[in-house]
Amino acid sequence: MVKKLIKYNFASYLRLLLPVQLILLGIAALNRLIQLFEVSDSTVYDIIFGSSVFLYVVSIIVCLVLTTIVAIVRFYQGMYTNEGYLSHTLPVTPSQHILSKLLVSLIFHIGSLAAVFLSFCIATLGEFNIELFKAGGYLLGRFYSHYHANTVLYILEFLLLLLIGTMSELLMLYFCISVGQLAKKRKVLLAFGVFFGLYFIGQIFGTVLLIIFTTNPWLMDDLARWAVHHMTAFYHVLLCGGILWFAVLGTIFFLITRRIMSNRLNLT
Amino acid sequence: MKRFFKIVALALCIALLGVTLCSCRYLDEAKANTAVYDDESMDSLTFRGYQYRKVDLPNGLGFIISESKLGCSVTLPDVPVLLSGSFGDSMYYDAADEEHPAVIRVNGVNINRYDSRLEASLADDYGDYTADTRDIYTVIRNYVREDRYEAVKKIVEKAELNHYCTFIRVFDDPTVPWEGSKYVPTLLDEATTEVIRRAFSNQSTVSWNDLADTEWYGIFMNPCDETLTLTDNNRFLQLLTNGNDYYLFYSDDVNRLYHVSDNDFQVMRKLYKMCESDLEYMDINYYRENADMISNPTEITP
Repeated sequence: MVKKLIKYNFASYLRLLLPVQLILLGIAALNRLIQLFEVSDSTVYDIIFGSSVFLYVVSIIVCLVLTTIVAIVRFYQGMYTNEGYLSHTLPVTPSQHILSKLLVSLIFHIGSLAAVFLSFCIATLGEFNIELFKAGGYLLGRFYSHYHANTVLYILEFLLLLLIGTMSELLMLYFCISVGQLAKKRKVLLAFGVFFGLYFIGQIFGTVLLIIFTTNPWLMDDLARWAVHHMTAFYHVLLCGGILWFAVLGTIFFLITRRIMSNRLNLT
Repeated sequence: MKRFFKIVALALCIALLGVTLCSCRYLDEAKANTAVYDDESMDSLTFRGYQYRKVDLPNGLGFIISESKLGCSVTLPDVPVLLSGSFGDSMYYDAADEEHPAVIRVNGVNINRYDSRLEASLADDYGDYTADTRDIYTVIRNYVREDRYEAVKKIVEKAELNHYCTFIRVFDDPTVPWEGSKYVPTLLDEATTEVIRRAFSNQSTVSWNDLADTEWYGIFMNPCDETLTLTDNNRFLQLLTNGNDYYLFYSDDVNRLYHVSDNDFQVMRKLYKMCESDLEYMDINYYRENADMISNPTEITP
């Protein structure tokens, strides 16, 4: 049953996001074609090229933002509107509901990133693209020659951080929607309120940290000194610390969302 | 319909293949401004198809490079051109000699223990070091184009800085002075050079501290050779007055001011006026035709 659920979610995401990604690739191709007519010291070319780059950047932003919006809307509609009546009668636990939506959202976020990367390759197609890959390979080679086997670990940790970070952010959004639906009226408004409340708490936490560091400059100095002398370990601490942080946050959001869905479901 | 889509797809593939063969202006400019060391020893480099060989200059001497195009780098062979600014050494050559310069100066950053300047800088700020073991310092290397190497080497071996030069500001387009300008090294003629030699032949000198109400003249003169290739990087000449008398001095010894006679000062005064007349937006040809204080440098014969 869960497989069918995932398949259904996948199809609904694809219907919405595939055209956007194809448009992004088309704009990238247009950008590259415009570059074929490159003329030095030409105001007309500069304007046209500048406009095409602007359009391309905007389309990247739209693609990424739309992916998140679709994730939010699909979760809300599937769980807490009329469609929710059907979803919650299926022989699927709330955890499986959340995880299936999370999995599909994650796949499409990765897909959007892949589309952006592919569009960048199209927009820079040619010798410039080759030089970019050469530069990337060179930097990786230098990094590897300095950090050896740790390079592979850093890459794995970074990818894991990206994955868990994205999941944590999505779970936070699910949490906001779930808390929002507890209200009798204006559920979406409350969901926004919860989101901004979380953001505000995050800002306070950041400010407190900043105050601690600015009132104790020796702390920053000591940290920097330790980092310089233990650069390898410093990167591991940074990455693993990030993974742990997002994992804990994500787990908390998941548990609360599941509890609300199990015990406090309000589809009116 | 299927056939139509197949044809469109094939056409797109061919078009995209053609695109892969195209370069872009940014990349072409980056390649044109990047030189490559021939090997790890950095004894020679290749720039715009010409090979350059390293030449060791006597202490304190340097090639005359007044203004150079910014953003030029020289890298080891394995460094991609897009990273030449980050992993290469800064390179300077005379702006007037832009296409295939005769001489190139490279400012290399020597990093002892670290793989990147970022790490070396961090260690500099937060690491432990003593004054004797600084890990970052600048190494200057000079290179000469292969076909000029022997001739320049002879000049370097002689190293006779018995002439003087100054730098005159000239405009790319005298009718549009705000478009751009550069400072061009210009050899002073024999008469002006004699004035300077006469001043320095004086046995008696005065100290800066002995003068009051001194006023500077905006002329900077450098000792150089007759071919305008070498100069003394450690010092330059300046002219000042206290209202009554005029003095020449080297920048590295302000306690020895050499008196310039009134007649000789008139020659200097003309030079001063010439240096300051960029306000009239003239170009170097005007100076060469009308000013009698400068001369053409001796051509370097290979």
